[in-house]
Amino acid sequence: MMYAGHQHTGSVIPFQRPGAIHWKPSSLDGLGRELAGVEAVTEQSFLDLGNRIQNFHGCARNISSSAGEVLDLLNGEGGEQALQRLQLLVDRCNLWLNTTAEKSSEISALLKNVLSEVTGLELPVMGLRKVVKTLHSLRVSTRIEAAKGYASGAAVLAKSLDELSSLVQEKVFDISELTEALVPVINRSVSMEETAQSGSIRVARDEVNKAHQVLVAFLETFLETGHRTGRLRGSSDGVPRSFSEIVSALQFQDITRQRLEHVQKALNNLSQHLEKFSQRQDFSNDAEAERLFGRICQLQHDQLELASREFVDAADNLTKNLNDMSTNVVAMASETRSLLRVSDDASGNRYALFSLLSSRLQCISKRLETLTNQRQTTSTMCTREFRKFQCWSEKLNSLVKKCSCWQLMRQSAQPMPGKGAPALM
Amino acid sequence: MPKCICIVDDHLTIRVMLRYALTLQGFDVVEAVDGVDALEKIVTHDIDMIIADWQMPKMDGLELLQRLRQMEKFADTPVVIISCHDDIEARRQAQELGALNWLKKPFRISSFQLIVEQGLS
Repeated sequence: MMYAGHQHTGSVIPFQRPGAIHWKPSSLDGLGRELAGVEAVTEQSFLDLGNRIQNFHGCARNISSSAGEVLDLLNGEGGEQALQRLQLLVDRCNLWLNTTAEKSSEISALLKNVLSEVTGLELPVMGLRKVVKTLHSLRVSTRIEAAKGYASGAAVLAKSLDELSSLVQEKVFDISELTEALVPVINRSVSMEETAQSGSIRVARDEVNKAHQVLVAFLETFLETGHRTGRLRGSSDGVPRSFSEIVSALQFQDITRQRLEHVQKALNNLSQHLEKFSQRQDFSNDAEAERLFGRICQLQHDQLELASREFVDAADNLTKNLNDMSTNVVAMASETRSLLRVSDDASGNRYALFSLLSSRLQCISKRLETLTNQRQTTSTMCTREFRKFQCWSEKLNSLVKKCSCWQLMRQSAQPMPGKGAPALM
Repeated sequence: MPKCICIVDDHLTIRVMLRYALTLQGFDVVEAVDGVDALEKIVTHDIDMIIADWQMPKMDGLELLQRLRQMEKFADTPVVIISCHDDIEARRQAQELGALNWLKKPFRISSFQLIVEQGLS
């Protein structure tokens, strides 16, 4: 330091001994130039530093804003909502398929019951066949009786029996035909329901489960990316803080410059005074002059020391914040690389996952379509057979009526004791 | 159309630093090295605010502020004075001339940006 050993006495300016003054006015000029030089050197360095920091900060900001955009894209409201909707859709598919499977089992059970009841019709049909045979025998007997002399009543009865016999025969044939036709239809319906349960519904449920797994995998990637971007955002938040500190520290170059200027001015004034002082004739006040000059030098020294301290503090602060900024940027770079890797994987995976999800959902849709078609076919067949049943039921009613009629006729045809033919049955 | 701010400072580092901070906020910036230079430049631009250092060669910040208040176009333009010193008399003068703020160096860039935003709102 220029003021090392600055106490105002000593070998440099021995004021109190006339003729022994070693003072050279150019000494302070040199000091002033040196101070100006310090300012020039630091100004250029700080300017370079400022420019570099600007570039650095610009890059950091770009990374930060890109990270923000990535975060918004990945965690954006639209993406999250779409994912939630997709999850809801898959969950609903699953619920619906479970209900469908239950209903299908119920339909199968119902059809099996119907089948068992239709099979149960076999015995009554056999009974009816016997009735037809009996009616046939009765018709023959009635004809014989008619031939024997009960012409009018027995002839009518024989005709009615003929009609009844052929009607019953016809109905029995219908019933038999219907039963035979119904059994394969119900069997087919049962088979279709069972196929649906083991085929379409099962596959659709498998696909829904796979779609669910795909979504879970995607969610994991989504969370990982969110975690990375969160850390990236944390690192990038540190950059503006450091930048702000650096900008504050940079101002100390200007503050120091102004202090140096003040010291320079003070030293110039001192130099002029010393110039005059060196030409003095009266040496009586040397002690007082020495004290004053010493005081001035001390003040300037204090100023320079303060400036130096502030400048060193600012430089330390600058270094610390540059290090912080560097650490943050390195962390950002590392997080960005990780994010890019995850994002790349995620975008690759996401593409594959969504392709898979799409194909799964398409498959589910196709299976459900098949199931709907099968249901429609079953429903149509059952409706058709039900109508046949209705028709058969009507015919049976008609037959019952005919039988009632026949019973009345038989009662009418029964001969009075001593007058008519014996009882037919 | 972005607002335009004139920075008047003889110290290049400060100008560069403030220009960058203002550009980040989306403002256009015109730079001047002292009061005289500023008076020449502001007439050719639509200036919305002036940031001036107090101590400058040729014409300091207070004198510049005084001249601006005498010009009809800049009578109400917000002016912020920045300085390494916190001189009470100079601050009083600046206040009387309608300076928006006196910002002592070293200041935080965020404080500076806030003052600019408030001054222009």
